[in-house]
Amino acid sequence: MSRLDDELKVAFQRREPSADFAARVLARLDEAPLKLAPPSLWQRLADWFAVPAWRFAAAGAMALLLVVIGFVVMRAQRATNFEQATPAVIATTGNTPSVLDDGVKVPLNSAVAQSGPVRTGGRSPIHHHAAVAKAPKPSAEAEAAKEKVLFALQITSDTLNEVQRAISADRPTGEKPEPVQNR
Amino acid sequence: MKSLTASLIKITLVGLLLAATAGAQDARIQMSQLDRFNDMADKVISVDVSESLIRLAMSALSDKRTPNEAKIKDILSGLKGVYVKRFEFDKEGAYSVADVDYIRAQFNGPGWEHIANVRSKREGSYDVVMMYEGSIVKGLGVLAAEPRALTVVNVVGAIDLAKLRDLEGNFGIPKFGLEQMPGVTVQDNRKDKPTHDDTKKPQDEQKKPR
Repeated sequence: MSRLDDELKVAFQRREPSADFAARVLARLDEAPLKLAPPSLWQRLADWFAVPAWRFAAAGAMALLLVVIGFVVMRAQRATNFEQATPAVIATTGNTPSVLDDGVKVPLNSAVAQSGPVRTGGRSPIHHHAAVAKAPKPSAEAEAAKEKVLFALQITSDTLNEVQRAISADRPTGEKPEPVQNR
Repeated sequence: MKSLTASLIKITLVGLLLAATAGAQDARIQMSQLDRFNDMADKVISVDVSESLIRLAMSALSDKRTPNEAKIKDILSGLKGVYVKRFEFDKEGAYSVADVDYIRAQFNGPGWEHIANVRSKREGSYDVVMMYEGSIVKGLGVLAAEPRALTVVNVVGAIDLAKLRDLEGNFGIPKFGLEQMPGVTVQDNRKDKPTHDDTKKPQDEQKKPR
């Protein structure tokens, strides 16, 4: 046998550990808790891409949902602005466009589109649109209050006209009555 | 002595408070006695518009939308209240002289100035009174006691009658929906009566459709 074989036999021969080996190992483990190094950024990124495919599908669906919601909200906002702006645009310009600059269509048979023309001061409808779009839309309560107040004023006006008629009827013919008015 | 001074101060304060309250409300005409006609009259129109409601209504009016709206807003800017009661009857003599005198007595109260009085057996009687504070109008009262209708209008606050007349009835009021509004009563009792009454409509209703 060669010398190399002898050395290998010595190197690979089985040696039994000392009797207190296991006890010493356990004692060392208890003394120093295991400290792991925090994973690096690349490690974390790699771990994230290692997630199952269904997580990618869920994230994609969430992103798509957010895009759809954003689009719907934007359309609704533009439609609201357009509704607020259109009556004033038409009232000030006399135009009844079927499509304004934001691309929202106006039904031509609507009450708004049937408003009569009013002279404009030379400003473009787009300017008016932008100006009046900022004005808040009156609430339903305010509209109801307006109608009620106008109704009361109408009766007041009618009653005063009746008084005027009665005064006219009471006077001799040919004499012009003085209108009921302030001092 | 101290108690006498304290009493005098209290009396003065109460007096000032009463005077301020009276000054703020003296353009208001009381019409509650006429509420008994609510069931008797063929048609009842009752409108109570407070100052807060006028302010709310003004928020729905625009100076720029139409010229009429600008005029209406101008008229409303000085108003503090509008109160209307109108009763239409199917026959003459439904209301008494005492009912008319109840309103007229208030028109004869302090502060009111008679603008027009018409007494006609055929047409009825009309009273228009105004209350001024210097050259500023504080209130308007109108009583129209027609043979088959009784109308009382009370406007509290500054009202420009010339501007009201300029509108010539162009208020742009919708012809529907008023009955549903709180504070507005348009009650047509004729619906419950037999149809032969419909052939004899009051003259004043025919000449003044609302």
